[in-house]
Amino acid sequence: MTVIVIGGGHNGLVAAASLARQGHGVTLLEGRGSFGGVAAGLLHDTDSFSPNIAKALDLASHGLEFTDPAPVFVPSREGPGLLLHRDPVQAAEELGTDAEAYTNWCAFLKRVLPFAASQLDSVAPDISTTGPLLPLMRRGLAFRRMGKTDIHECLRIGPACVDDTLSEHFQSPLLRAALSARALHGTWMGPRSPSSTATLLLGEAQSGQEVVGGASSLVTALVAACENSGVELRPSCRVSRIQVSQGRAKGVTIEGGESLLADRVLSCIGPRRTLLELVESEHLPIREAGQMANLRLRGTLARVSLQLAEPIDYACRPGLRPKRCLVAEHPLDLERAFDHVKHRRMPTQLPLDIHQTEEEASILIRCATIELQGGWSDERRQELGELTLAALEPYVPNIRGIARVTRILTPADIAEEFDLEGGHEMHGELSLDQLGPMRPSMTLSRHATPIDGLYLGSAGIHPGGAISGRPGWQAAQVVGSR
Amino acid sequence: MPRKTALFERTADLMTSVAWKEWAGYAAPCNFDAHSEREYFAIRHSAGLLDLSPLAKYMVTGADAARYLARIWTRDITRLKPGRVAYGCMCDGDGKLLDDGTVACLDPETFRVTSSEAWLGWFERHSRGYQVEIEDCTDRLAALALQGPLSREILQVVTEVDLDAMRFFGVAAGSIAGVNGWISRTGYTGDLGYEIWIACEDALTVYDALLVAGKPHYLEPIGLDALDVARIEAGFVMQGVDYISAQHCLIEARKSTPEDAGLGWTVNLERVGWIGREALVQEQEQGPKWGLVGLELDWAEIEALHEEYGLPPHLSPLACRNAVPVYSEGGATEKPVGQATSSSWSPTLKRYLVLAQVHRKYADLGTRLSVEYTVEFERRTITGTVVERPFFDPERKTFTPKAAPKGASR
Amino acid sequence: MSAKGADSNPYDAIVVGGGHNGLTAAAYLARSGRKVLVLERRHLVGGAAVTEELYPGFKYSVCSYVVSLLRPWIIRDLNLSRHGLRIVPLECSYTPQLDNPGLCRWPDPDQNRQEIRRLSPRDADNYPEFGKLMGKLARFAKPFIDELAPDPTSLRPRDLWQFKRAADRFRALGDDLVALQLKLTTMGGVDFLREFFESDQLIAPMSCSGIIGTMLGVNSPGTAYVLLHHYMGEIDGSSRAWGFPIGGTGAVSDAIAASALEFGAEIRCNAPIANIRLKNGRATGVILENGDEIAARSVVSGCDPSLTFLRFVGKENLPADFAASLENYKNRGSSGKVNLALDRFPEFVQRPGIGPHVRGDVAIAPSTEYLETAYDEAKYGAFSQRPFINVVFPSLLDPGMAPPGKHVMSCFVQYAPYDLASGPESWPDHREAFGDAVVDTLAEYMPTLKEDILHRQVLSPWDIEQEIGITEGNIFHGELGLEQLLFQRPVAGWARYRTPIDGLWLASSGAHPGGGIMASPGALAAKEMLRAGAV
Repeated sequence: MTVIVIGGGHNGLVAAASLARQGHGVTLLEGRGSFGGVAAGLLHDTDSFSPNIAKALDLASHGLEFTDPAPVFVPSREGPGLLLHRDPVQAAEELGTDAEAYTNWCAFLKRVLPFAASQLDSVAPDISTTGPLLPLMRRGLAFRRMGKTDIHECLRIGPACVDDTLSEHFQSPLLRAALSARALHGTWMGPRSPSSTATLLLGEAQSGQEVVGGASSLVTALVAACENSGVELRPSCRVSRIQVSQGRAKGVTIEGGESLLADRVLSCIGPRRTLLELVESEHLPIREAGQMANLRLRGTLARVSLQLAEPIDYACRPGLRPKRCLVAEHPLDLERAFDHVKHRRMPTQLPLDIHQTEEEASILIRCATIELQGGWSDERRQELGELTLAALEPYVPNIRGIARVTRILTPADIAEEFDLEGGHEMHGELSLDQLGPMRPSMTLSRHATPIDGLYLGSAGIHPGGAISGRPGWQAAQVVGSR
Repeated sequence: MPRKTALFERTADLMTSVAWKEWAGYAAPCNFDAHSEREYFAIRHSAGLLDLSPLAKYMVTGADAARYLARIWTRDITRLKPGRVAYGCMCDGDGKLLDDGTVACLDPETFRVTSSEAWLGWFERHSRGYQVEIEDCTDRLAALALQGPLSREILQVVTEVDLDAMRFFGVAAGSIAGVNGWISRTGYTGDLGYEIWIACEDALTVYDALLVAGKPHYLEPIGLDALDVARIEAGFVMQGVDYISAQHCLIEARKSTPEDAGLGWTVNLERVGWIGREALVQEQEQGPKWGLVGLELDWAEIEALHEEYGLPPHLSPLACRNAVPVYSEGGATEKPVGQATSSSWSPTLKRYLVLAQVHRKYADLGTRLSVEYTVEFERRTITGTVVERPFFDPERKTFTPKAAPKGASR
Repeated sequence: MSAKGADSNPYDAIVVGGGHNGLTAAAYLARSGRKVLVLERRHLVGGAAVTEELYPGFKYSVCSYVVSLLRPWIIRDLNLSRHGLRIVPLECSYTPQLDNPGLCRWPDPDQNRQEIRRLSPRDADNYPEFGKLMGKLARFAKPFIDELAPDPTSLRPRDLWQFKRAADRFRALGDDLVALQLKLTTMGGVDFLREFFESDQLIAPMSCSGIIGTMLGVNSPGTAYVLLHHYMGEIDGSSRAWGFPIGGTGAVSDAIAASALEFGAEIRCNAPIANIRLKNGRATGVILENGDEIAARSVVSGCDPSLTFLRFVGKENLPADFAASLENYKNRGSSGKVNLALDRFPEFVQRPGIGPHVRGDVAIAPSTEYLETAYDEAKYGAFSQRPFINVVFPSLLDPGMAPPGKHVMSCFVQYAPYDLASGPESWPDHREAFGDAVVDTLAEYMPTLKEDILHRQVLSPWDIEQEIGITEGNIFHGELGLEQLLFQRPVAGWARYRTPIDGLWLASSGAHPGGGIMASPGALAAKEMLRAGAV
């Protein structure tokens, strides 16, 4: 069987490699000049990448190594800040009075997350009203096995806001800020938004070890895996049309007019762009067209790169020089940042998600809305860089002396450069109505589409996520099995 | 709270009755006099003039206008030539009827769409991916229907458009009573007739000019009551009466496919890409369930039934829109096999006509059915026989004096 | 079966709190022949549904001001019409704007269409379709407010059966409606409405229904489902969900009280209780503040869960996990009330006159941005300077509410957070400033308002807590968030009116199905008690 995979991001690479290893003839088309998508130069967290996939694709043979994630440092203007280790034993000393609560919280997560993780590693359940009931009941029973107390707790906190949930457990605002920041990745929410606890749990369920060398090492390994298994890799190959005839995908047309035919087409770019822009309207049933038109993907991500004369040293903890840092002292700082997103304003006090190496720092800002009133301009871009330095200055007084801003990517730049609709790194906001069997919609969450032979496999499909590879992997299993 | 159309001031003046009814949010005359008989006979023997303005009207323009309309309409609008009008219908994604109406091709990128009710929300929802603009012009565009055997002569007095050459379902731009507008040879009466499309501010001028031009021909302003009788004679279904738009149905059973409502002829399942097709293809594989039939009630039975009560048969001059059950012949004690949705005494045919939706197996010509009929509060039945539709179909409806000979290019 | 024990309990049940739910529970119990005593702390019954003449000749519906979803079967069961209940439907929902005539949403579809067309022809077309979809979902939701909450986590046969029935009905909706229902339950009001409408001036007033009584904004996930409320009325067989009771909301309480009395219940006002009396972990009666003890087989609380358990029972007497859950129970009063006595009718400058547009409710909700900004202020502990206000002029619907030619104006105001940054007890210092903000906001739309005011009553959530007794002044006895609804109201597994304290039952809005003057919790609790043979 021949398969065309559209989009050479991490999910496209995973899918292509998997299909090729299944013995299919795979062509991977990437519109940009290089592969990796958001994993190549935008996002830096790799701890959600599925170790099962790494194993199945034998990425270790291509140099991929995992390590325990680096602790996150949350600097403070008043105290010594917080160096938060994932592991409760390591974290205990820093956490003081919250240590016990943190241990309990981690224990709770350990009890409830395996269920969530198992859902993330399988195709979304079929919840259509004509679908089979038995698989649903099985999942229900698996959920039930968690035990009544934990079920009740999950159902109680899931719809609640992450700030409430964490406040029930922890005193330290630094700890609460650090934990809630993660819950907001890919969402259009603040820590006071209901259901942000659900996205917190979702994020926690995916997280594990991180890739040594970061996202770029992962991309290198994935590309090698593709080459090794015989995938035809075609960069700078932008698809302009998915050819459909008699309700069946026949292949694609590439910008410039070249036509490529295949038995199956798997799109690992956003589901909305795939269905609404690459497929002619006549071929898409109105139900799915309507679902995609309503898909919400308001990007809030921006990135500022700094060149460092020396590593960033936080005044509250001299000499620590942490690899990972979150600048946000209180969950309400994150909430205020989200207020700007909501009102489509330029953010002021920026929470920062910093990843630094010896010479560079990459800073992700998750409160810059693509819907900015008046739009993003050069001035606004410069302003964002300035605001980033201003946000760091209270913690790193010499920041302007040691750092030079080398690159600023506004959400509009990200949309353009990474070919992301809405500038959204996950092709669709994480929200309860766009998760699980509803991601991206009830009839599209199981990778198949109403167009025979056309499949979806990007982060916009269940189980979503940042650099996780799961949607691409599962799509490849579905494509391969039909 | 119905609104006034651009012609309200004149129609209100002409009416000696106070018989208004609400039509798509506007006030529309039922009849101009104590009864509608004169208006009906004008339609069939001279001409009647009706204010059509409440009809929902849209201008669809742009490079993809035809492709777009071919997507939402059951007819292949990409093949509609400028100067032609196509009657058709619109389905939802499940192939259930939403509405019916006409699409007029004014030029290759300009179309005027009419429908019984407003659909801008629906139109816009499905316009993504098409280079097309949709304007709801219901409020700015007035429409008149001039219907009847003498309509051509009357209209020709006020327009330079060569009506002798305009074919059935043709449309042409031109000056009418000195104002610019469009004339189409379309109608809802099954007779020779025209519809005139003009800006609201010109509506009175044209209306008045037509009344003057029509005076020697006994032109009558007509209302909806007379129209209703005429459209039943012509066998036309009405949205909201003979079928319910899927948009308004609360239960699945109330929805109809085009086939169910007698509009199967507007559908071409071979053509792909239009909304509702896939569902209808499936439906066709299972075989359609319903059919719309024309029934003629047995007049002798009606007389005999009234006789039982010592009454002469009483006939309303109005069409009846109260749906009543239809049973298999003599099966009045069993479950109904359908419902009669419109019925009327035809003053021209001297027959009692019924439009009914019945189970497919009762839809064949000549099938005899029992239709509920109430006399003196008692529910009885009358035998109705499935007959050809239209009930009334005069040659003049489609005859064009200067029609190009067969074989000549259009 | 009012079997009286050896200790000769004089009462089968004591109802603590004479609000509308407590009274309803009492009436149902008395109707089944039980001997019931209602104890009310204040001098009059009604709780938050009271009418009081605080300024001579002017009657205020002090707190709760309109009736939505008062269950028709309760009206029939308790003969409330015979006891004087008359509810007139609100005629219109008017949202004024400063620079244009604003939007009136009428019961008549055509009239509505013309109004909405001015904003967006597309929305005018979509509005009836939206209503139809909501009507279908309301039909699905209706049993949830008239029956016990199904518990999906319970494996008891009765619960499994009930859950299966709900699941079957859910699947019967069909795919599109199932997806819509899932969206409705989880999405923010504005996001949900934007799938149907484009005009912000239409979306803003529609989205308000989702925030009433919550500490959430119109964009917050989980606020869309309350939209259903407005379509519930239709399936009750009446045309409109919202109505105004002749005589003010106190008239509802009075009618229920009259019904309870007729069935033989006893009602005692000015009888604040100090504690619920416990014996061996079982509720055996109550202890009044004056020290009197009254014994009963069962105690029914018409008060909110926090007050009932943390104050009247005491944390130390509760199972630890139940107490912990209650401490995490979110009350978060977020709304205040301003009642005005007016010398004349203060006309709206953009739609003058005393027409049908003001004979309904008037929402100060000009844009979603406005509403969200109002929420932002509250989030950080301040009342909104430009709040969302829902105004009703009771005197236009019931001339008895004010002297001839004069008017009363009832303003529900949000946001007024109980938890001010300076602490809830600082509300007395901010109360008048809050009242000024409300009047200033309204005066922008009704320029003569300020000079027409004869008397003003301002109630902050703290005042409501002090006067009416509801914890944190939350009008619903606890937020109507997803995590505090259905089988989780007030605590997972305890949504069936039973409590961990034997003999103590919860019949207030803090129990399923929650707030509003529905009277469902009271009626369902009483029925469950009778079914269980607890009285």
